[in-house]
Amino acid sequence: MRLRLPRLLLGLIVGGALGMAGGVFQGLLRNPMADPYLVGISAGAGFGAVMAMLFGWNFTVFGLGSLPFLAFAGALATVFIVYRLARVGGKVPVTSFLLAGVAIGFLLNALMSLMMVGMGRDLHRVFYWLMGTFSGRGWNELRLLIPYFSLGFILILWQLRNLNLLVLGEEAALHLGVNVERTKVVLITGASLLTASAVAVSGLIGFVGLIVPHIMRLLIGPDHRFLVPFCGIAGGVFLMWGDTLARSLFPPLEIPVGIITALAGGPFFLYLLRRHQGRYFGQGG
Amino acid sequence: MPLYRVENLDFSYGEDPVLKGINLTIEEGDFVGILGPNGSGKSTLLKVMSGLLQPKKGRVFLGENEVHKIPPGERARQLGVVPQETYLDFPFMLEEVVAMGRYPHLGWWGNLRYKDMEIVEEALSTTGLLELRHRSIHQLSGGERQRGIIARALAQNPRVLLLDEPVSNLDIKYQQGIFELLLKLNRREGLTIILISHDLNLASQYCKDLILLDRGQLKAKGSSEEVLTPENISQVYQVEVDVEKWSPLEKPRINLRPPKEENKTQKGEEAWKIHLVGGGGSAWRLLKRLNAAGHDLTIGVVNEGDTDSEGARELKIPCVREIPFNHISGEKLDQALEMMLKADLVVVTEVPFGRGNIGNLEMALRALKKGKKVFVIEGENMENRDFTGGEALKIWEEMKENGARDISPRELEQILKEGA
Repeated sequence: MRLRLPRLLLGLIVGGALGMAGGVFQGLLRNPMADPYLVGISAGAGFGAVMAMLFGWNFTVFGLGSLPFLAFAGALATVFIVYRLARVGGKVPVTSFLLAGVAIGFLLNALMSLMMVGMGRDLHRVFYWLMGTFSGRGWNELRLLIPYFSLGFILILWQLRNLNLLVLGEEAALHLGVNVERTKVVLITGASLLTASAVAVSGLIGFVGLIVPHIMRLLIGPDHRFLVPFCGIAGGVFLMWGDTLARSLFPPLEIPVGIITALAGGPFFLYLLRRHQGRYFGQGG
Repeated sequence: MPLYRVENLDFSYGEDPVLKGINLTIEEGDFVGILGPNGSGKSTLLKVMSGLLQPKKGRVFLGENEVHKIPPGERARQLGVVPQETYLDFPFMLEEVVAMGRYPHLGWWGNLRYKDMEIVEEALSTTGLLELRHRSIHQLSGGERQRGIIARALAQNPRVLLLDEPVSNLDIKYQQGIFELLLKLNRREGLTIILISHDLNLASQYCKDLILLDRGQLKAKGSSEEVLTPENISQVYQVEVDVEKWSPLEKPRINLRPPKEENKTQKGEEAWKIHLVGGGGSAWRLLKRLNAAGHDLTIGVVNEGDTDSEGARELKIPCVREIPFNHISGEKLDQALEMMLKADLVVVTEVPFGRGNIGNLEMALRALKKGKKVFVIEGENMENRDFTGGEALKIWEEMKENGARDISPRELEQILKEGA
C-alpha cells in the first residue's frame, strides 16, 4: 500500500494536469484536435530527456534529477521560443502559434531521433520514457510535481472566465472587455507548466489531453469554467485506471501506461475525425 | 461634450494609407450610418473607433479619453460592438452567449447576480429571442444568431453600439427587423448607434446622419438629403443613379441606372454626339448599339408610340415626337434641326419616306449644307422606299452632291470606332 498510494496519486495528478492543459489548449487554439503536446512541448521535453540520457548527465537541481529537470526545462523553453516566434507586432495570433509549434516540434523530433541513433544501450530507457510510464516513481516525484502543478492550476483558474470569451474569437473577446494578449500569455504559461511538470515525472503519456476534454465537453458543455476542472478530474481518474491496468495486465511485466492510453485514444481520435469531416479546418486566427 | 471626437485620423496597415485626415464628431443619441464602396475604409474606421486598432496619426476620443487607451474592461462597459463575423464553434446556449455581455461588469469567476440575469432576460426579450434562450447557438437561423449577437452587445449596457454590416447576410424581413430594433433602441433608450451599411436605401431610411467615405477620406457627412446626391454617389461608387424622394418617409431613394457600358468614362476620346433620323423601328437596333457603346444620342422626328420613339424613351434618349398620322409640323422639324446642328454627326436610317415624314430628310439636307457630316444607311435603296413620287430621291441626289455618304450599319460602327 505504501508503494501503491503514491503511484495512484501520481496518476491522478498527471492525468489531471494533462486533461486540464488539453481543455485549455483546445479552447485557446479554437481547435478540437489540439492537445497539450501540440505546440512543441512534447518535442522539447523529449529532446531534453534524451540529451540527459545520451550524455549520462547526473546532477540535481532543486531536488530534481537531471532527466526530469531537462525534460521540464526543455518543454518550457520550447513553448517560450514558439511563443516568441509567433509574435507579430506585439500580438500572438493563435494560428501562427500553432504553426510555429508544429514546425519547432518537427525540428526537435528530428534532432532527438538523431541523438537516439547514436545511443545504443540506453535506447530501451528512452523508449520507455517516450511512451510514458510511472514505473519506479513515488513520493519524491510527487513532492516535486505539486508546486508546479499548483502554480499552473491557479494561473489557469484565474483566466477560465476569459477563455470562454476567447473561444468566440479574439476580436469579440476584446470587445467584451478581455485583455486578450494577457489572457493568452497566462493561459499558455499555466497550461505549459502543467504539461511540463507532468512530462517531467512520467514521460510522454499521449491522448489523455486529447480525448478527455472531448468527452467532458459532451457531458459538461462548453463553459470552460466547469469544463476545465472536470477535465482535470476525469483525466486523473482515467490515468489512474490506465496505470492500474498497465501494471496488472501482464504481471509481472509492466507496460508503459502511454500504450494503454494510446490504445484507448487512437480509435476515439479516428472516430472524431470521421464525425467532424474536416469541419474544424480553416477556422483559426 | 460630444460622445465621439475624431481628429485628423490617419490609419494604415502597412505602407498604403487606409484612412486619411478624418474629422468627425458624433453626439450622444445619434444614429449614424457609415457608407462607402468596398475598400473605402469603413470597417477600419469602425475598428479604430472601437479601440481595436490604434490611430497612426490623429486622435479618437470617446468622451474625454482616447478610445484605444481605455482599459478593455472599462471600454466594454461603454461600447457594444457587433463585428462582421463571430466565431461560434463551441455549442453554447443562446442565453450563455448573451450572458457573456455581462462579463465586463462581473468579477474574475464571472458569477451572474440576480440583476445580471434580469438584464440578460431584457436583452433577449428586446431582440425577440426569449423563447429561444435555451437553444444551442448552432440551432439558430442567421437572423436569430445576428439578433443574439446584438442582444449580447445590449447586455453590456453600453452607451453606444457599433455594428459592422449588421444585415448584410439577411433577407429583407430580418433586415427590417434589425433596423427597426435599432431605431427603437435609439428612440426609446437614447442609445447611440453607429453602423456600416452597404444598402444606401436602408441607411437613408433609418439613419439620422450619414457619413460617406471615399478611398479613406470623408467625402460627405450630414443628413441623407445632403449626402445621397447623384453627384456624390457617382463620384464615390462610379455608378449613375437617380435619386427620388420616396413619399412615405420623405427620404431620398436611390435607383441604379442601366450602365452605359465601356466608353462612359472616356467619353472625350471615343464618344460621339449623334443625331438619328428614324421612324417605324428603322433606328431601333442602331439606337441600342450606339447607346451601349456609350455615344451621346438624340433622335427625331418620330411618331409618338412607334418602336423608335418607345425605344428612345426606355433608354432615356432625347427625342422629338409628333402625333401619329399627321404631317410633321414645322415646329418639330425646327427642334430636330437644332439637335442635328448640336451633334457631331447625323445618321439617316433605312426609313421609308412619305409625305408625312419627308420633312426629316429636308432637315438632314439643311444640316448637311450647314457643314454637318451626314451618313445615310443603305442610300442606294432610296428608290424602293420613296413613296413621295420622286421627291425623296431628288433630295438624296442633292445630299450626295453635298458630300453625304452612303454606308452600311457596320461601316458606320467601324468609322465611329476609328474616330475618322
